[in-house]
Amino acid sequence: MTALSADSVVVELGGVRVLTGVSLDVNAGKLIAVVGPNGAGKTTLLGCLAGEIRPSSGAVDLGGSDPAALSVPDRARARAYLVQSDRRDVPYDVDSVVGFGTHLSVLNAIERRNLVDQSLRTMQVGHLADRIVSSLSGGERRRVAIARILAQDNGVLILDEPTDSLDLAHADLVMAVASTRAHAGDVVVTSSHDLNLAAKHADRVIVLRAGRIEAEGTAREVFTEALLSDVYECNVSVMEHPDDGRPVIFV
Amino acid sequence: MTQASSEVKRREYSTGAIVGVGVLSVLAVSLIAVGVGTITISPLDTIEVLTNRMLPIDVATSDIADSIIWNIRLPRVLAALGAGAALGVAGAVLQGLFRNPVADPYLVGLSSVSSIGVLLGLWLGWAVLGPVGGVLGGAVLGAIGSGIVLVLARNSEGDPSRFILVGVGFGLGVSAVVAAAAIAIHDPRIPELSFWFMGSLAASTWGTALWACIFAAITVAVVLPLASRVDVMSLGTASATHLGVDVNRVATVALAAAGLGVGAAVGAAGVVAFVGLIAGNTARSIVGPHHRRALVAAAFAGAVLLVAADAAGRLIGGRFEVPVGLVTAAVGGPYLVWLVTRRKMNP
Repeated sequence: MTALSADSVVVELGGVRVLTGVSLDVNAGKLIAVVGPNGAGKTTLLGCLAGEIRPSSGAVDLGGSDPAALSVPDRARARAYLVQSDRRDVPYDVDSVVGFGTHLSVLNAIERRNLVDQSLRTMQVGHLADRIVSSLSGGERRRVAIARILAQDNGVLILDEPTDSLDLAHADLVMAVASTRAHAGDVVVTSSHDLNLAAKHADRVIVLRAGRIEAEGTAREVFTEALLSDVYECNVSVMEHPDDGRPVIFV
Repeated sequence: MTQASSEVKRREYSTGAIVGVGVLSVLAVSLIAVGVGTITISPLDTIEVLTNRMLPIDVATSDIADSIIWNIRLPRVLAALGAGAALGVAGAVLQGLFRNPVADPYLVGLSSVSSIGVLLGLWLGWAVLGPVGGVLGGAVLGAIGSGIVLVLARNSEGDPSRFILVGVGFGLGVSAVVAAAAIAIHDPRIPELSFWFMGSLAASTWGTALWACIFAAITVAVVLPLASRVDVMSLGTASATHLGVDVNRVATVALAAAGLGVGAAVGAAGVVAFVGLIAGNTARSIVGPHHRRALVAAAFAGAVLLVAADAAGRLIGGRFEVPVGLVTAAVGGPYLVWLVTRRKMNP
Protein backbone atom coordinates (compact mmCIF):
# COMPACT_ATOMS: atom_id res chain seq x y z
CA MET A 1 0.00 0.00 0.00
CA THR A 2 1.20 3.50 -0.79
CA ALA A 3 2.00 5.30 2.48
CA LEU A 4 1.68 8.83 1.14
CA SER A 5 0.05 9.94 -2.07
CA ALA A 6 -1.44 12.87 -3.90
CA ASP A 7 -4.18 12.36 -6.48
CA SER A 8 -4.92 15.12 -9.01
CA VAL A 9 -4.20 17.81 -6.43
CA VAL A 10 -5.11 21.36 -7.38
CA VAL A 11 -4.26 24.26 -5.07
CA GLU A 12 -5.34 27.85 -5.55
CA LEU A 13 -3.95 30.45 -3.17
CA GLY A 14 -5.22 34.03 -3.34
CA GLY A 15 -6.85 33.35 -6.69
CA VAL A 16 -3.62 32.03 -8.18
CA ARG A 17 -3.39 28.37 -9.22
CA VAL A 18 -0.20 27.06 -7.57
CA LEU A 19 -0.62 23.33 -8.26
CA THR A 20 -2.47 21.85 -11.21
CA GLY A 21 -3.48 18.20 -11.12
CA VAL A 22 -0.41 16.84 -9.31
CA SER A 23 -0.40 13.12 -8.61
CA LEU A 24 2.40 11.20 -6.94
CA ASP A 25 3.05 8.20 -4.71
CA VAL A 26 5.67 8.13 -1.98
CA ASN A 27 6.45 4.58 -0.91
CA ALA A 28 8.55 3.41 1.99
CA GLY A 29 12.09 2.44 1.08
CA LYS A 30 12.76 5.10 -1.54
CA LEU A 31 13.88 8.69 -1.10
CA ILE A 32 11.81 11.02 -3.27
CA ALA A 33 13.20 14.47 -4.16
CA VAL A 34 10.99 17.21 -5.58
CA VAL A 35 12.96 19.76 -7.58
CA GLY A 36 12.11 22.75 -9.73
CA PRO A 37 12.69 26.47 -10.11
CA ASN A 38 11.46 29.10 -7.67
CA GLY A 39 7.70 29.34 -7.65
CA ALA A 40 7.23 25.88 -9.17
CA GLY A 41 5.03 24.78 -6.24
CA LYS A 42 7.44 22.56 -4.28
CA THR A 43 6.63 24.06 -0.87
CA THR A 44 2.89 24.02 -1.62
CA LEU A 45 3.07 20.38 -2.69
CA LEU A 46 4.92 19.37 0.48
CA GLY A 47 2.48 21.44 2.54
CA CYS A 48 -0.39 19.46 0.98
CA LEU A 49 1.34 16.14 1.67
CA ALA A 50 1.88 17.27 5.28
CA GLY A 51 -1.79 18.26 5.64
CA GLU A 52 -1.00 21.91 6.30
CA ILE A 53 -2.52 23.10 3.03
CA ARG A 54 -5.93 21.80 1.99
CA PRO A 55 -6.17 21.19 -1.80
CA SER A 56 -8.83 23.08 -3.73
CA SER A 57 -9.58 19.76 -5.41
CA GLY A 58 -8.03 16.32 -5.54
CA ALA A 59 -7.00 14.21 -2.56
CA VAL A 60 -4.03 13.52 -0.34
CA ASP A 61 -3.76 10.22 1.50
CA LEU A 62 -1.43 9.67 4.46
CA GLY A 63 -1.65 6.14 5.82
CA GLY A 64 -5.34 5.88 4.89
CA SER A 65 -6.36 9.33 6.15
CA ASP A 66 -6.64 12.81 4.73
CA PRO A 67 -3.87 14.56 6.72
CA ALA A 68 -5.64 17.94 6.52
CA ALA A 69 -8.68 16.40 8.25
CA LEU A 70 -6.66 15.08 11.20
CA SER A 71 -6.46 17.00 14.47
CA VAL A 72 -3.25 19.00 14.98
CA PRO A 73 -1.72 16.43 17.41
CA ASP A 74 -2.78 13.44 15.26
CA ARG A 75 -1.22 15.06 12.22
CA ALA A 76 2.05 15.50 14.12
CA ARG A 77 1.91 11.83 15.19
CA ALA A 78 1.35 10.78 11.56
CA ARG A 79 4.27 12.68 10.02
CA ALA A 80 7.25 14.91 10.76
CA TYR A 81 7.34 18.09 8.68
CA LEU A 82 10.31 20.40 8.32
CA VAL A 83 9.50 23.89 7.04
CA GLN A 84 11.90 26.23 5.31
CA SER A 85 12.75 28.32 8.38
CA ASP A 86 12.25 28.44 12.15
CA ARG A 87 12.27 31.54 14.33
CA ARG A 88 15.78 32.82 15.02
CA ASP A 89 15.19 34.10 18.56
CA VAL A 90 14.48 30.82 20.37
CA PRO A 91 15.66 31.22 24.00
CA TYR A 92 15.97 27.47 24.75
CA ASP A 93 19.07 25.29 24.65
CA VAL A 94 19.59 22.89 21.75
CA ASP A 95 18.93 19.79 23.86
CA SER A 96 15.50 21.15 24.90
CA VAL A 97 14.54 22.15 21.37
CA VAL A 98 15.38 18.72 19.98
CA GLY A 99 13.39 17.31 22.92
CA PHE A 100 10.36 19.32 21.75
CA GLY A 101 10.16 16.75 18.95
CA THR A 102 9.24 14.09 21.51
CA HIS A 103 6.57 16.06 23.39
CA LEU A 104 3.75 13.91 22.00
CA SER A 105 5.72 10.69 22.37
CA VAL A 106 4.41 7.76 24.38
CA LEU A 107 7.97 6.62 25.13
CA ASN A 108 9.24 6.66 28.70
CA ALA A 109 11.79 9.25 29.88
CA ILE A 110 14.83 7.04 29.24
CA GLU A 111 13.69 6.10 25.75
CA ARG A 112 13.01 9.75 24.97
CA ARG A 113 16.45 10.70 26.25
CA ASN A 114 18.04 8.07 24.02
CA LEU A 115 16.03 9.27 21.05
CA VAL A 116 17.12 12.89 21.60
CA ASP A 117 20.77 11.83 22.03
CA GLN A 118 20.62 9.76 18.87
CA SER A 119 19.06 12.63 16.91
CA LEU A 120 21.71 15.06 18.19
CA ARG A 121 24.47 12.65 17.17
CA THR A 122 22.95 11.93 13.76
CA MET A 123 22.88 15.63 12.87
CA GLN A 124 26.30 16.23 14.46
CA VAL A 125 25.00 18.81 16.94
CA GLY A 126 25.71 16.91 20.16
CA HIS A 127 28.51 19.33 21.03
CA LEU A 128 26.00 22.19 20.83
CA ALA A 129 23.50 20.58 23.24
CA ASP A 130 23.92 23.25 25.96
CA ARG A 131 24.01 26.20 23.58
CA ILE A 132 21.04 28.58 23.34
CA VAL A 133 19.52 28.22 19.88
CA SER A 134 19.43 31.97 19.22
CA SER A 135 23.24 32.03 19.54
CA LEU A 136 23.76 29.51 16.73
CA SER A 137 24.59 30.16 13.09
CA GLY A 138 21.92 29.63 10.43
CA GLY A 139 23.40 26.28 9.41
CA GLU A 140 23.64 25.06 13.00
CA ARG A 141 20.02 26.04 13.62
CA ARG A 142 19.02 24.14 10.49
CA ARG A 143 20.72 20.97 11.74
CA VAL A 144 19.02 21.39 15.13
CA ALA A 145 15.64 21.72 13.41
CA ILE A 146 16.31 18.50 11.46
CA ALA A 147 17.42 16.72 14.65
CA ARG A 148 14.10 17.79 16.19
CA ILE A 149 12.24 16.31 13.19
CA LEU A 150 14.17 13.04 13.58
CA ALA A 151 13.23 12.96 17.28
CA GLN A 152 9.54 12.89 16.29
CA ASP A 153 10.34 9.35 15.13
CA ASN A 154 7.09 8.68 13.34
CA GLY A 155 8.23 7.04 10.10
CA VAL A 156 7.07 9.72 7.66
CA LEU A 157 9.45 12.61 6.94
CA ILE A 158 8.42 15.55 4.77
CA LEU A 159 11.42 17.85 4.42
CA ASP A 160 11.11 21.24 2.73
CA GLU A 161 14.55 22.44 1.61
CA PRO A 162 16.43 20.59 4.39
CA THR A 163 19.82 21.60 3.00
CA ASP A 164 19.02 25.31 3.07
CA SER A 165 21.83 27.30 4.85
CA LEU A 166 24.06 24.20 5.11
CA ASP A 167 27.66 23.88 3.95
CA LEU A 168 28.66 21.17 1.48
CA ALA A 169 29.48 18.52 4.06
CA HIS A 170 26.39 19.04 6.17
CA ALA A 171 24.09 19.29 3.15
CA ASP A 172 25.48 15.93 2.03
CA LEU A 173 24.99 14.58 5.58
CA VAL A 174 21.34 15.64 5.66
CA MET A 175 20.55 14.01 2.33
CA ALA A 176 22.47 10.88 3.37
CA VAL A 177 20.42 10.71 6.59
CA ALA A 178 17.20 11.14 4.58
CA SER A 179 18.30 8.35 2.25
CA THR A 180 19.27 6.07 5.14
CA ARG A 181 15.91 6.62 6.83
CA ALA A 182 14.09 5.88 3.55
CA HIS A 183 16.07 2.69 2.93
CA ALA A 184 15.38 1.63 6.54
CA GLY A 185 11.66 1.68 5.74
CA ASP A 186 10.56 5.24 6.42
CA VAL A 187 8.52 7.30 3.99
CA VAL A 188 10.70 10.26 3.02
CA VAL A 189 10.05 13.08 0.57
CA THR A 190 12.20 16.17 0.30
CA SER A 191 12.34 19.28 -1.84
CA SER A 192 15.67 20.66 -2.94
CA HIS A 193 17.35 23.27 -5.09
CA ASP A 194 20.55 21.22 -5.10
CA LEU A 195 20.20 18.99 -8.12
CA ASN A 196 23.57 17.30 -7.54
CA LEU A 197 22.62 16.19 -4.04
CA ALA A 198 19.25 15.03 -5.36
CA ALA A 199 21.06 13.08 -8.08
CA LYS A 200 23.40 11.53 -5.53
CA HIS A 201 20.89 10.50 -2.87
CA ALA A 202 17.35 10.38 -4.24
CA ASP A 203 15.94 7.16 -5.62
CA ARG A 204 13.34 9.09 -7.60
CA VAL A 205 13.11 12.72 -8.58
CA ILE A 206 10.05 14.73 -9.51
CA VAL A 207 10.55 17.90 -11.54
CA LEU A 208 7.89 20.54 -10.98
CA ARG A 209 7.33 23.50 -13.26
CA ALA A 210 4.57 26.08 -12.80
CA GLY A 211 2.56 23.75 -10.57
CA ARG A 212 2.69 20.70 -12.83
CA ILE A 213 4.88 17.60 -12.84
CA GLU A 214 7.20 18.03 -15.78
CA ALA A 215 9.13 14.77 -15.39
CA GLU A 216 9.46 11.90 -12.95
CA GLY A 217 11.94 9.03 -12.66
CA THR A 218 15.48 8.30 -11.59
CA ALA A 219 17.99 11.15 -11.74
CA ARG A 220 19.68 9.55 -14.76
CA GLU A 221 16.36 9.39 -16.58
CA VAL A 222 15.17 12.88 -15.69
CA PHE A 223 18.25 15.10 -15.40
CA THR A 224 18.96 15.70 -19.07
CA GLU A 225 20.43 18.88 -20.47
CA ALA A 226 17.39 19.49 -22.61
CA LEU A 227 14.87 19.10 -19.82
CA LEU A 228 16.79 21.06 -17.18
CA SER A 229 17.67 23.88 -19.60
CA ASP A 230 14.02 24.12 -20.55
CA VAL A 231 12.68 23.99 -16.96
CA TYR A 232 15.25 26.36 -15.44
CA GLU A 233 15.37 28.62 -18.52
CA CYS A 234 19.15 28.71 -18.69
CA ASN A 235 21.92 26.65 -20.27
CA VAL A 236 22.44 23.61 -18.10
CA SER A 237 25.23 21.10 -18.72
CA VAL A 238 25.08 17.53 -17.49
CA MET A 239 28.06 15.19 -17.19
CA GLU A 240 28.53 11.76 -15.72
CA HIS A 241 30.16 11.46 -12.31
CA PRO A 242 33.46 9.52 -12.66
CA ASP A 243 32.71 7.31 -9.64
CA ASP A 244 29.23 6.04 -10.28
CA GLY A 245 28.03 7.65 -13.47
CA ARG A 246 25.26 9.69 -11.81
CA PRO A 247 24.48 12.98 -13.51
CA VAL A 248 26.48 16.01 -12.42
CA ILE A 249 24.73 19.28 -13.17
CA PHE A 250 26.35 22.68 -13.63
CA VAL A 251 25.62 25.95 -15.36
CA MET B 1 36.83 28.91 24.52
CA THR B 2 34.26 29.71 27.17
CA GLN B 3 30.87 30.67 25.77
CA ALA B 4 29.17 33.87 26.94
CA SER B 5 26.61 33.10 29.66
CA SER B 6 23.69 34.18 27.44
CA GLU B 7 24.74 31.61 24.86
CA VAL B 8 24.64 28.52 27.07
CA LYS B 9 21.83 27.21 29.20
CA ARG B 10 21.81 28.32 32.81
CA ARG B 11 21.75 26.02 35.79
CA GLU B 12 18.40 24.28 36.16
CA TYR B 13 16.62 24.19 39.52
CA SER B 14 14.13 21.48 40.36
CA THR B 15 10.48 22.46 40.76
CA GLY B 16 10.70 21.26 44.36
CA ALA B 17 13.56 23.67 45.08
CA ILE B 18 11.62 26.53 43.47
CA VAL B 19 8.54 25.74 45.56
CA GLY B 20 10.69 25.46 48.72
CA VAL B 21 12.41 28.81 48.21
CA GLY B 22 9.11 30.37 47.13
CA VAL B 23 7.22 29.22 50.24
CA LEU B 24 10.00 30.43 52.54
CA SER B 25 10.10 33.81 50.77
CA VAL B 26 6.33 34.19 50.98
CA LEU B 27 6.33 33.31 54.69
CA ALA B 28 9.18 35.70 55.46
CA VAL B 29 7.78 38.69 53.55
CA SER B 30 4.27 38.05 54.90
CA LEU B 31 5.48 37.91 58.48
CA ILE B 32 7.23 41.25 58.07
CA ALA B 33 4.35 42.82 56.08
CA VAL B 34 1.76 41.90 58.73
CA GLY B 35 3.71 44.00 61.22
CA VAL B 36 4.03 47.09 59.01
CA GLY B 37 1.58 50.00 59.36
CA THR B 38 0.62 52.92 61.58
CA ILE B 39 0.96 50.54 64.51
CA THR B 40 4.06 48.39 64.17
CA ILE B 41 3.82 44.80 65.34
CA SER B 42 6.90 42.64 65.75
CA PRO B 43 7.16 39.28 63.92
CA LEU B 44 7.22 37.56 67.35
CA ASP B 45 3.92 39.17 68.35
CA THR B 46 2.48 38.18 64.97
CA ILE B 47 3.54 34.57 65.49
CA GLU B 48 1.96 34.60 68.96
CA VAL B 49 -1.34 35.92 67.61
CA LEU B 50 -1.36 33.38 64.78
CA THR B 51 -0.50 30.57 67.21
CA ASN B 52 -3.30 31.64 69.49
CA ARG B 53 -5.76 31.82 66.60
CA MET B 54 -4.81 28.79 64.56
CA LEU B 55 -3.47 26.24 67.02
CA PRO B 56 -5.06 24.80 70.16
CA ILE B 57 -2.42 26.56 72.24
CA ASP B 58 -3.25 29.43 74.59
CA VAL B 59 -0.68 32.23 74.24
CA ALA B 60 -1.04 35.59 75.94
CA THR B 61 -1.51 38.33 73.31
CA SER B 62 -2.81 41.88 73.34
CA ASP B 63 -6.35 42.38 72.03
CA ILE B 64 -5.25 45.31 69.88
CA ALA B 65 -2.53 43.29 68.19
CA ASP B 66 -4.93 40.38 67.73
CA SER B 67 -7.58 42.60 66.19
CA ILE B 68 -5.17 44.43 63.85
CA ILE B 69 -3.51 41.25 62.66
CA TRP B 70 -6.56 39.01 62.35
CA ASN B 71 -9.13 41.50 61.09
CA ILE B 72 -7.04 43.92 59.01
CA ARG B 73 -3.45 42.97 58.18
CA LEU B 74 -3.75 39.23 57.57
CA PRO B 75 -6.65 39.45 55.09
CA ARG B 76 -4.76 42.25 53.38
CA VAL B 77 -1.56 40.23 53.09
CA LEU B 78 -3.48 37.16 51.95
CA ALA B 79 -5.28 39.21 49.30
CA ALA B 80 -1.92 40.58 48.13
CA LEU B 81 -0.52 37.03 47.97
CA GLY B 82 -3.41 35.76 45.85
CA ALA B 83 -3.55 38.82 43.59
CA GLY B 84 0.25 38.94 43.23
CA ALA B 85 0.49 35.24 42.37
CA ALA B 86 -2.23 35.56 39.73
CA LEU B 87 -0.62 38.66 38.18
CA GLY B 88 2.81 36.98 38.21
CA VAL B 89 1.59 33.82 36.50
CA ALA B 90 -0.46 35.84 34.04
CA GLY B 91 2.59 37.94 33.17
CA ALA B 92 4.69 34.84 32.52
CA VAL B 93 1.89 33.29 30.43
CA LEU B 94 1.47 36.43 28.32
CA GLN B 95 5.24 36.77 27.81
CA GLY B 96 5.50 33.11 26.79
CA LEU B 97 2.44 32.96 24.53
CA PHE B 98 3.25 36.15 22.66
CA ARG B 99 7.06 35.80 22.85
CA ASN B 100 7.06 39.34 24.20
CA PRO B 101 9.08 40.09 27.35
CA VAL B 102 7.26 43.36 28.02
CA ALA B 103 3.81 41.74 28.09
CA ASP B 104 1.99 42.41 31.37
CA PRO B 105 -1.70 42.11 32.30
CA TYR B 106 -1.89 45.89 32.69
CA LEU B 107 0.09 46.76 29.56
CA VAL B 108 -2.02 44.50 27.29
CA GLY B 109 -5.30 45.91 28.65
CA LEU B 110 -6.42 42.79 30.53
CA SER B 111 -6.52 44.49 33.94
CA SER B 112 -8.62 47.35 32.59
CA VAL B 113 -11.13 45.03 30.92
CA SER B 114 -11.42 43.14 34.21
CA SER B 115 -12.19 46.37 36.06
CA ILE B 116 -15.50 46.56 34.15
CA GLY B 117 -16.46 43.27 35.79
CA VAL B 118 -15.26 44.48 39.18
CA LEU B 119 -17.46 47.59 38.93
CA LEU B 120 -20.49 45.59 37.80
CA GLY B 121 -19.85 42.93 40.45
CA LEU B 122 -19.69 45.52 43.21
CA TRP B 123 -22.59 47.58 41.94
CA LEU B 124 -25.02 44.80 41.12
CA GLY B 125 -23.84 42.08 43.45
CA TRP B 126 -23.18 43.93 46.68
CA ALA B 127 -26.48 43.01 48.32
CA VAL B 128 -25.71 39.28 48.03
CA LEU B 129 -21.93 39.07 47.82
CA GLY B 130 -20.58 42.24 49.40
CA PRO B 131 -17.00 43.11 48.33
CA VAL B 132 -16.55 39.54 47.03
CA GLY B 133 -18.87 40.57 44.18
CA GLY B 134 -16.00 42.66 42.78
CA VAL B 135 -13.63 39.68 42.79
CA LEU B 136 -16.14 37.35 41.14
CA GLY B 137 -17.22 39.98 38.60
CA GLY B 138 -13.59 40.75 37.78
CA ALA B 139 -12.78 37.05 37.32
CA VAL B 140 -15.70 36.53 34.92
CA LEU B 141 -14.91 39.64 32.84
CA GLY B 142 -11.18 38.86 32.94
CA ALA B 143 -11.74 35.40 31.47
CA ILE B 144 -14.08 36.77 28.79
CA GLY B 145 -11.91 39.83 28.18
CA SER B 146 -8.89 37.65 27.46
CA GLY B 147 -10.50 37.11 24.04
CA ILE B 148 -10.00 40.82 23.34
CA VAL B 149 -6.29 40.47 24.17
CA LEU B 150 -6.05 37.59 21.69
CA VAL B 151 -7.67 39.74 18.99
CA LEU B 152 -5.31 42.67 19.77
CA ALA B 153 -2.31 40.31 19.58
CA ARG B 154 -3.41 38.91 16.23
CA ASN B 155 -3.99 42.36 14.82
CA SER B 156 -0.48 43.35 15.88
CA GLU B 157 0.93 40.85 13.35
CA GLY B 158 3.70 39.69 15.65
CA ASP B 159 5.03 43.19 16.31
CA PRO B 160 5.67 43.26 20.10
CA SER B 161 5.80 47.06 20.33
CA ARG B 162 2.55 47.51 18.44
CA PHE B 163 0.84 44.91 20.65
CA ILE B 164 1.85 46.78 23.81
CA LEU B 165 1.03 50.23 22.43
CA VAL B 166 -2.43 49.11 21.34
CA GLY B 167 -2.93 47.37 24.71
CA VAL B 168 -1.90 50.45 26.71
CA GLY B 169 -4.15 52.74 24.68
CA PHE B 170 -7.07 50.34 24.90
CA GLY B 171 -6.53 49.79 28.64
CA LEU B 172 -6.29 53.48 29.49
CA GLY B 173 -9.47 54.17 27.54
CA VAL B 174 -11.37 51.42 29.34
CA SER B 175 -10.00 52.50 32.74
CA ALA B 176 -11.14 56.07 32.11
CA VAL B 177 -14.65 54.90 31.23
CA VAL B 178 -14.80 52.61 34.29
CA ALA B 179 -13.55 55.39 36.60
CA ALA B 180 -16.09 57.84 35.14
CA ALA B 181 -18.82 55.24 35.62
CA ALA B 182 -17.71 54.69 39.21
CA ILE B 183 -18.01 58.44 39.85
CA ALA B 184 -21.38 58.63 38.10
CA ILE B 185 -22.79 55.74 40.10
CA HIS B 186 -21.93 57.71 43.23
CA ASP B 187 -22.31 54.76 45.56
CA PRO B 188 -20.26 54.71 48.79
CA ARG B 189 -19.68 50.97 48.31
CA ILE B 190 -17.83 51.61 45.03
CA PRO B 191 -14.11 52.27 45.62
CA GLU B 192 -12.56 55.69 45.09
CA LEU B 193 -10.97 56.84 41.86
CA SER B 194 -7.44 55.82 42.83
CA PHE B 195 -8.51 52.15 43.09
CA TRP B 196 -9.24 52.05 39.34
CA PHE B 197 -5.90 53.58 38.37
CA MET B 198 -3.45 52.84 41.18
CA GLY B 199 -4.93 49.93 43.10
CA SER B 200 -5.46 49.49 46.81
CA LEU B 201 -5.61 46.59 49.23
CA ALA B 202 -6.92 48.72 52.10
CA ALA B 203 -10.47 47.34 51.85
CA SER B 204 -9.38 43.68 51.88
CA THR B 205 -11.61 41.25 53.74
CA TRP B 206 -11.25 37.53 54.43
CA GLY B 207 -13.76 37.02 51.63
CA THR B 208 -11.87 38.97 48.96
CA ALA B 209 -8.58 37.43 50.11
CA LEU B 210 -9.91 33.89 49.98
CA TRP B 211 -11.45 34.29 46.53
CA ALA B 212 -8.33 35.99 45.15
CA CYS B 213 -6.30 32.99 46.35
CA ILE B 214 -8.83 30.48 44.98
CA PHE B 215 -8.77 32.09 41.52
CA ALA B 216 -4.96 32.32 41.60
CA ALA B 217 -4.85 28.58 42.37
CA ILE B 218 -7.26 27.85 39.50
CA THR B 219 -5.10 29.92 37.13
CA VAL B 220 -1.97 28.00 38.12
CA ALA B 221 -3.77 24.64 37.94
CA VAL B 222 -5.00 25.35 34.39
CA VAL B 223 -1.82 26.85 32.90
CA LEU B 224 0.76 24.49 34.40
CA PRO B 225 -0.33 21.45 32.32
CA LEU B 226 0.02 23.67 29.23
CA ALA B 227 3.60 24.67 30.11
CA SER B 228 5.41 22.26 27.77
CA ARG B 229 3.18 23.31 24.86
CA VAL B 230 3.92 26.99 25.55
CA ASP B 231 7.62 26.02 25.44
CA VAL B 232 7.17 24.50 21.98
CA MET B 233 5.34 27.64 20.83
CA SER B 234 8.64 29.54 21.22
CA LEU B 235 9.58 28.02 17.84
CA GLY B 236 6.84 30.08 16.20
CA THR B 237 3.24 29.30 15.34
CA ALA B 238 3.98 27.26 12.21
CA SER B 239 6.67 25.02 13.72
CA ALA B 240 4.67 24.51 16.93
CA THR B 241 1.63 23.48 14.89
CA HIS B 242 3.74 21.06 12.85
CA LEU B 243 4.93 19.54 16.13
CA GLY B 244 1.33 18.93 17.18
CA VAL B 245 0.56 21.94 19.36
CA ASP B 246 -2.93 23.29 18.77
CA VAL B 247 -1.72 26.87 19.11
CA ASN B 248 -5.16 28.49 19.09
CA ARG B 249 -6.54 26.18 21.74
CA VAL B 250 -3.52 26.53 24.02
CA ALA B 251 -3.56 30.33 23.70
CA THR B 252 -7.32 30.55 24.30
CA VAL B 253 -7.32 28.31 27.38
CA ALA B 254 -4.15 29.79 28.90
CA LEU B 255 -5.33 33.36 28.33
CA ALA B 256 -8.80 32.66 29.75
CA ALA B 257 -7.18 31.15 32.85
CA ALA B 258 -4.83 34.12 33.14
CA GLY B 259 -7.79 36.47 32.70
CA LEU B 260 -9.67 34.68 35.47
CA GLY B 261 -6.79 35.23 37.90
CA VAL B 262 -6.10 38.79 36.76
CA GLY B 263 -9.79 39.70 37.05
CA ALA B 264 -9.95 38.35 40.59
CA ALA B 265 -6.72 40.21 41.39
CA VAL B 266 -8.24 43.47 40.12
CA GLY B 267 -11.30 42.78 42.24
CA ALA B 268 -9.12 42.31 45.30
CA ALA B 269 -6.39 44.91 44.69
CA GLY B 270 -7.58 47.28 41.94
CA VAL B 271 -5.61 48.01 38.78
CA VAL B 272 -1.95 47.38 39.70
CA ALA B 273 0.60 47.62 36.91
CA PHE B 274 3.92 45.88 36.25
CA VAL B 275 3.65 42.97 38.76
CA GLY B 276 3.38 40.46 35.91
CA LEU B 277 6.13 42.19 33.96
CA ILE B 278 8.61 42.08 36.83
CA ALA B 279 7.61 38.66 38.21
CA GLY B 280 7.57 36.92 34.82
CA ASN B 281 10.94 38.25 33.70
CA THR B 282 12.60 37.81 37.09
CA ALA B 283 11.37 34.22 37.29
CA ARG B 284 12.63 33.44 33.80
CA SER B 285 16.00 35.05 34.44
CA ILE B 286 16.51 32.88 37.54
CA VAL B 287 14.99 29.50 36.61
CA GLY B 288 15.31 29.64 32.81
CA PRO B 289 12.75 29.71 30.00
CA HIS B 290 11.00 26.36 30.64
CA HIS B 291 7.46 27.31 31.65
CA ARG B 292 6.85 24.47 34.08
CA ARG B 293 9.43 26.07 36.34
CA ALA B 294 9.02 29.71 35.22
CA LEU B 295 5.26 29.76 35.89
CA VAL B 296 5.70 28.42 39.43
CA ALA B 297 8.52 30.86 40.11
CA ALA B 298 6.50 33.76 38.65
CA ALA B 299 3.57 32.96 40.98
CA PHE B 300 5.83 33.18 44.02
CA ALA B 301 7.66 36.24 42.68
CA GLY B 302 4.37 38.06 42.02
CA ALA B 303 3.04 37.19 45.47
CA VAL B 304 6.19 38.37 47.23
CA LEU B 305 6.35 41.53 45.11
CA LEU B 306 2.77 42.63 45.78
CA VAL B 307 2.94 41.93 49.52
CA ALA B 308 6.23 43.85 49.72
CA ALA B 309 4.91 46.73 47.59
CA ASP B 310 1.79 47.03 49.73
CA ALA B 311 3.85 47.00 52.92
CA ALA B 312 6.21 49.59 51.43
CA GLY B 313 3.24 51.82 50.61
CA ARG B 314 2.11 51.67 54.23
CA LEU B 315 5.63 52.25 55.48
CA ILE B 316 6.31 55.23 53.20
CA GLY B 317 2.95 56.93 53.58
CA GLY B 318 2.32 56.43 57.29
CA ARG B 319 -1.30 57.37 57.97
CA PHE B 320 -1.85 58.35 54.34
CA GLU B 321 -0.57 55.21 52.73
CA VAL B 322 0.83 55.28 49.19
CA PRO B 323 -1.38 53.22 46.80
CA VAL B 324 0.22 49.86 46.01
CA GLY B 325 0.05 50.55 42.28
CA LEU B 326 2.23 53.63 42.68
CA VAL B 327 4.89 51.53 44.41
CA THR B 328 4.83 48.86 41.68
CA ALA B 329 4.89 51.61 39.03
CA ALA B 330 7.88 53.27 40.71
CA VAL B 331 9.76 49.97 40.36
CA GLY B 332 8.14 48.68 37.18
CA GLY B 333 8.44 51.84 35.11
CA PRO B 334 12.24 52.00 35.20
CA TYR B 335 12.36 48.21 34.84
CA LEU B 336 10.30 48.46 31.65
CA VAL B 337 12.62 51.13 30.29
CA TRP B 338 15.64 48.96 31.12
CA LEU B 339 14.02 45.92 29.53
CA VAL B 340 13.21 47.71 26.31
CA THR B 341 16.53 49.55 25.97
CA ARG B 342 19.02 47.06 27.40
CA ARG B 343 17.77 43.56 26.80
CA LYS B 344 17.10 41.67 23.64
CA MET B 345 13.34 41.35 23.18
CA ASN B 346 13.38 37.61 23.88
CA PRO B 347 11.03 36.15 26.50
